[in-house]
Amino acid sequence: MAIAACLAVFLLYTSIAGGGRPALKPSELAGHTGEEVTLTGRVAKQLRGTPGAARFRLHDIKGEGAVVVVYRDALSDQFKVGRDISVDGRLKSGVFVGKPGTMVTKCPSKYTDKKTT
Amino acid sequence: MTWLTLAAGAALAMLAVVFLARPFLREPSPAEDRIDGLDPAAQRRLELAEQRDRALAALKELEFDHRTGKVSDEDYRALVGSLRRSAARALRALEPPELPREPYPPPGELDPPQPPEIPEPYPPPDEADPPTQPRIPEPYPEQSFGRDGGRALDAGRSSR
Amino acid sequence: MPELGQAALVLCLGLSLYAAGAGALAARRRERRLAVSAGNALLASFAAAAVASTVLAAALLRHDFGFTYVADHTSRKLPTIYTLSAFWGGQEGSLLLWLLILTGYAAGAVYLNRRAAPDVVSWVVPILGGVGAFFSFLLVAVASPFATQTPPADGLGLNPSLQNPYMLAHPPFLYLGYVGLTVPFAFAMGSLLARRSDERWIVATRRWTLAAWTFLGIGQLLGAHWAYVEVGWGGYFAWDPVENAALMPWLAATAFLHSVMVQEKKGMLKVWNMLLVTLAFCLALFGTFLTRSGILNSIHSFTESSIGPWFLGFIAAVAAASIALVLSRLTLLRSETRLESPVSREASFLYNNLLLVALSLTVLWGVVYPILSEALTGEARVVGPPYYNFFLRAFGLPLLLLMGLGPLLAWRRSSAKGLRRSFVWPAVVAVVTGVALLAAGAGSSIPGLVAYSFSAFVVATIVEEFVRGTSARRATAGEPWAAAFASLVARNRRRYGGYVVHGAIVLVAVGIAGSSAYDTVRQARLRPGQSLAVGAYMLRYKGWTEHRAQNAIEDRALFEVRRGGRRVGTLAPGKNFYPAEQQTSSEMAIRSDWRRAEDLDLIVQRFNPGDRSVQLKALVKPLVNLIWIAGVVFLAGSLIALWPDAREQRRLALRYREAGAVLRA
Repeated sequence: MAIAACLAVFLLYTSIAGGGRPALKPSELAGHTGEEVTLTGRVAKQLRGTPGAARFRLHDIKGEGAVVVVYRDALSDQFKVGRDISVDGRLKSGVFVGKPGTMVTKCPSKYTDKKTT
Repeated sequence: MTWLTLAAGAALAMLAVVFLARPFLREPSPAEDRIDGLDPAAQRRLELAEQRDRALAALKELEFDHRTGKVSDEDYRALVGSLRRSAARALRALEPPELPREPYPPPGELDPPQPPEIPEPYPPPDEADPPTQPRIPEPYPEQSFGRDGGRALDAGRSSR
Repeated sequence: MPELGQAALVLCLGLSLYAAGAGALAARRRERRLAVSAGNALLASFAAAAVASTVLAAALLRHDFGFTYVADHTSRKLPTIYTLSAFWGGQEGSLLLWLLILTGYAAGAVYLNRRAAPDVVSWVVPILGGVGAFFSFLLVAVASPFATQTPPADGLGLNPSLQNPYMLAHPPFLYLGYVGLTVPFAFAMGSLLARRSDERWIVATRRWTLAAWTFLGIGQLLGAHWAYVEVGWGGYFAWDPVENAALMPWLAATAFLHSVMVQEKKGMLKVWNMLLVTLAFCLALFGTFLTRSGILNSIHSFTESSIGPWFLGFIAAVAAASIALVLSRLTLLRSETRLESPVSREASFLYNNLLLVALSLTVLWGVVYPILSEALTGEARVVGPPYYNFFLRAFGLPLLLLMGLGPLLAWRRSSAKGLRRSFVWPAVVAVVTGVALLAAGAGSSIPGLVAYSFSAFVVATIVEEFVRGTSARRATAGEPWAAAFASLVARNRRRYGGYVVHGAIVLVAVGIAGSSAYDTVRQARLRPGQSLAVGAYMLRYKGWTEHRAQNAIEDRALFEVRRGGRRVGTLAPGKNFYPAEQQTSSEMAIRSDWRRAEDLDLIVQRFNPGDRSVQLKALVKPLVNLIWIAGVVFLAGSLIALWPDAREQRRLALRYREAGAVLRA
């Protein structure tokens, strides 16, 4: 009983202390410049990037927001316009810089999972 | 295709209904229609039987642990007495003579000898009594929980 | 044809409702014939579900694209076995599989126990009927697999990375596990409803629980293995919500398996067990809810259908009703003995339970955290692998140690002397192993080193148990070693089967520790002729080839692998591109070195056509194959524990006969 109580307190503490990273949509990024967040959205358009850094526009899955994402790592095989992805990173000067190795691509059909790196 | 489907569906439904009605069709007017449950006496007996099995199993496990060295001699001596007493108590509690005495336990082996008829209000034997009253022989070191363990006590032959 | 399937589902729903309603009425009024009728309804619901399943399977095999489901998940060129596996490849079909297994288990459990405890079974029937009705309702009204359309020329096909034997078996095994947890739950609640205070329900469901737990464990290992060899990121478990969805009920079921032993032997933990079996069942439902509702940001996504709220409502109703029932029957659940000492086997079971449940709940907390934080603060926050890994170590390492300590402790209380005697040898083995590994360089990861040392301890205790048991048997029965060993295990299947399973868990722990705490990862962009060093290996990139297969274009990068200067082989990782499905799959190359017990994994992340270079990720994963080998050991141990024991059956039959509890045939 005592152990359970300790655990409960610990969990409550981590939640109140703000554990975890915010999980945001492109439209919600505005107030979070510089903060490390997990961004989720749908790939709207692939933009011209540089070798080693992919650049694409990410939309809200359901909604109007959009942001340009820069990702300095290999894109997964499933990455495509119209697919949903989530990636960790920070908003810097209006561009979302993704952390290498954190992009996860959802596949539209059931039961699949595709991770990069 | 559709009429075949309809026919198949209808057939299935009818089969199901018949199957559901089967108990009523088989016994249109039964002698009694109660679910056999446990009356409080039977419930109590079952609990006692479980307690007895638990106590005997614990005794056997203690023997095994002692034999394999997990429990030291002093620990064994300390624990076996009270375990034997609880086993005896449980056995005694299941005593009522009207119970059909199946092969378990073989009479005279695991049965505690009947204490003499003592009119109330003689106090029942308690924890502090030396464990001589119920004579429970050294449980066979067989690790099975089966009744063969009991039977084999007769001739000391090793059971399978 | 689809109409027949739909009709069968409607029939199943009707039968389940009858089983629930008439069954409850019969149980309450103790009417035998009505109860039998309700039981028959349960059996018939299985037949109805089977008919619906056959219709779907036949449509799949016929490539009948008039069925929307068939068109969405198969194509003409798909190999037959994968066409068949598309049955459970989507939302509706997987629900039908769940229903089929559920009604099958329900029919079996009720049929096998119909004479054993009719009063309990009379309540089990409406409970199982209720659950069946829920799933039938979903299939009939919310997500039917029998929707039709004008048939297109060809179907959408199955994602190529799912066309893999492990992915074939993974869902059925998981479902056999999830659904299997319904049976002990139903019997536990049925026992309470029938106002029984004995352990009959445990005896009746012991093997069901063990079997379900085994299926769930194997299912998870299959999924992890698929993730490792097919997905191409070098890992096998990512704490994704859907992976956690299977882990949580499995942990709760593990706790339940252990605490139920304490209840059987000591008459303790009765209330705890009732709550625990409810928790396990609700977590199983919650798990399947997670994978279907689209409510969480997961890389597995079914569809964001309206099915989520139904599940949530059902889980809430089940939890509330169960807790209310337990509270109303507390007098039946009084403990018969007390915990005498914190150093006893009962206590170690209790600690084991607390740790397992704590781990399960922390995983649950991590999973629902985004939802809760969004509801409370307006902003969703997620926790990542660091959170989960922290708690895995915090609770998992003590659990590992407990697996070794528990068997050493005696029931009721253990004296210092007794402990010392049993403790000494395994502790020495653990310390020696730890020191040796430290010298060999394993100090780079403290949790890894601790895991290895604890594992050594547990293995030593298991060996000690087997040796002591066998020699005790030899001494008393005079059998030679091999026969003594065999009869020892045969007479104590649960105990020694359990030890084998513990051995499997140790293998998993060692495999996880090795492959995550001591792995090496390197990434580089390589032009032809360039090399990359990873661990003790040197990889030289020779070039890339393209090969056109029947339905795919296969690009492979050739690597020469050297170790210690000597050439040990070539590896060709790459990618397949499937024009029909417009999908790319990563084909990683794995070289398993059995002597050194490590895997070398090469993954091509990108081909650069300009200069023929490749972006390569190379990993060296020590001991990872132990995890898969552990699966086999796990299965073996479970089978030993599950194996019917005629002696025990006789004893139990005798017990019930004596109490007058078994009635006319």
